[in-house]
Amino acid sequence: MYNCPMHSKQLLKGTLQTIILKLLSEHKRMYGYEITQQVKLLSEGKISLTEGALYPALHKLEAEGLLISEKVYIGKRVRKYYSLTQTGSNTVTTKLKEFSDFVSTMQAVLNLEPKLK
Amino acid sequence: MILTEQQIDFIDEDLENRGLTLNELRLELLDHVCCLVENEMSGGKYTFDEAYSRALIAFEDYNFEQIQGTIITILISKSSISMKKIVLMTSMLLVMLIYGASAIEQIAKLEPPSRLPVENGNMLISSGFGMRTHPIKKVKIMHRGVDFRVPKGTPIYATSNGTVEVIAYHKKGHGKFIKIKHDENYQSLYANLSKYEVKEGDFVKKGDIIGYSGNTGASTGPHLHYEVYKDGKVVNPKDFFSE
Repeated sequence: MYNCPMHSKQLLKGTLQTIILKLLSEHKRMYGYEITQQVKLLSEGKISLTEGALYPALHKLEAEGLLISEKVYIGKRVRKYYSLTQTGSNTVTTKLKEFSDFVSTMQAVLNLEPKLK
Repeated sequence: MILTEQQIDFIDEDLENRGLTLNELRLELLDHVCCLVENEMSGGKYTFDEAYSRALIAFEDYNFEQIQGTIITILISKSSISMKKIVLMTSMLLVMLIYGASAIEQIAKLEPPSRLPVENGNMLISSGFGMRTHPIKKVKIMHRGVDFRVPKGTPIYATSNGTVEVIAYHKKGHGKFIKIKHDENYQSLYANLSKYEVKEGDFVKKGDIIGYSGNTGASTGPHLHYEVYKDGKVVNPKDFFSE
């Protein structure tokens, strides 16, 4: 699913959709390569998305109506930009809430020092 | 660093040879691969060939055909609930009408491609599966199958029961090639042929002649290039030969 130089694959599984949706909520429109680069940057190289996981996830979100895409022709190349639909925007909030609840629960269960607000 | 039109065309054709047959998806991934290549080349450290090899490593665990397969499955399952079932039912019914009920039993029988694609194949292997220096590109690259050194016109046999999935010609890659789908898990591919004896959609039995060997495509002499896919990934065909 991911190449994770620092973080365990198992821990990150299931967070891909959340990552994509959140990034798009901040950037309006992005193409696949740009998403991989942005994740690398934000995670300081600790998470690198594999193309084999990213593209199926993008196409799935598009088929579910959370994303729409548009094509931009650059000479011989075609760049496909993704952006959130209204449903997609609503889902971002739910997904983030879900994830932060999960983190709080894990902190309580594992009795960790609360570091996240 | 911006790739030239020729370099883009080269990558596009190579991606198609690697199994990305859906135009729209290929164009999307082509742009991604081009970005990766440009990034690798930007420091002036790598040539185009080296940069392209490095970019392909990003996709190694999930080959292009597998990515395409996953996306097709997603699109089918989302487009309509029963679409997939209707297609499956109709094709089963057609097979039954044309070949009789026993054909269904044969299709259902799961068997990896265990026959050799040419007579006395074990004696004729000239290049095995795995990393090797490509005879034309002169770079270390994965050899995705097994080569059999056979003269042009040697009969090629289906290595297990199945349906002919693809008949195609790629000038710079596999040349004339045939791909057979054996079951949900296994597929086999026969490349650099001179002549086809089957057409897409044909049902073939293990040992049927499907075509004749040749020297078409990227080839330095007459041979058969043979690949086996398990769950969309290339595997060593030798692991299945029973002879």
